[in-house]
Amino acid sequence: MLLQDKKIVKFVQGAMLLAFSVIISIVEAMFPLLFIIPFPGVRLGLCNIAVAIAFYKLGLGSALTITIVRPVFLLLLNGNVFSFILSVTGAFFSLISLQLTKKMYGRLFSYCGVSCISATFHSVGQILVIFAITQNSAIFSYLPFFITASSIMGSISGSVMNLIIPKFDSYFLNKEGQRGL
Amino acid sequence: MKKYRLFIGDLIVNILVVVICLIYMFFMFNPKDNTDNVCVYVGNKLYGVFSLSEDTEFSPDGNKTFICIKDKKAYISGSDCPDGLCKATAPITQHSKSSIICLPNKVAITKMASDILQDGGVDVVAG
Repeated sequence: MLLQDKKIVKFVQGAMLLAFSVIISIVEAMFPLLFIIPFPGVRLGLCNIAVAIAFYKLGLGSALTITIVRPVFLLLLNGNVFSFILSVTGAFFSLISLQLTKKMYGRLFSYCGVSCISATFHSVGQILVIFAITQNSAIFSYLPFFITASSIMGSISGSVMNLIIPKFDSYFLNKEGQRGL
Repeated sequence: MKKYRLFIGDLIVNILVVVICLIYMFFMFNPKDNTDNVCVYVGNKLYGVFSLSEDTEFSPDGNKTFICIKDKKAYISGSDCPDGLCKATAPITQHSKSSIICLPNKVAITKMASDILQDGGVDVVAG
């Protein structure tokens, strides 16, 4: 495959993952988990599946693009600036954790463990930015609840990734630039 | 088709995170540390200290957020923030050590540490 074709394929696949993450974010917001987990602000986090798939299949650049552009889309849709700040920060911390655990994936963890760690970093990042805005350490009392809920939700989304990614392996390019594993 | 299996590390990470959080919560929600007063912050400045025994309702930030203390519980009864998460947060009671934060309006309600009261470091203000 020509280098230009590889770039086009990666670009289109990244755009599709971005669209998927935006749609999932919008749908998630319609179904709050307050009735299941009696703690405000908890979400399933399925949109992070797109970031993780982009990171492992398309590279850090595509994952970073989705991390930045998705919250911008949501900001344009609902105009909630604080939600945008929290979303970007959480996604950045999540991406940092993906990079840190990159070598451990496949040896120590599957997508489930990586997603759990990623979700934990996501929550910690959001708590830190809330502390930076409010300058009040009371927010740290939320930390154990957020981390527990996010690790459980991260494991769920990671298990979903374990199930669905094998079905799409043939669509992504491998290191030789060929489709499949 | 390659199959993805779970590793033992997945289970260890999950258990480790939950255990650490449970330990943190155990030390945070210490039942010996009961105090009847809550602090209200606007931004990082202390607006006032209120007793849970005295029912009251007020707005610390110019009618954007309304705080209600009733039946020994403190909670945010009204807010103009878009998400309304602060209104959905559980009330603070005498035995809880949690806090309620409205991020867009930068209003926070926290329990006052009992050691501050013992040292007499802050004058108790009601209303």
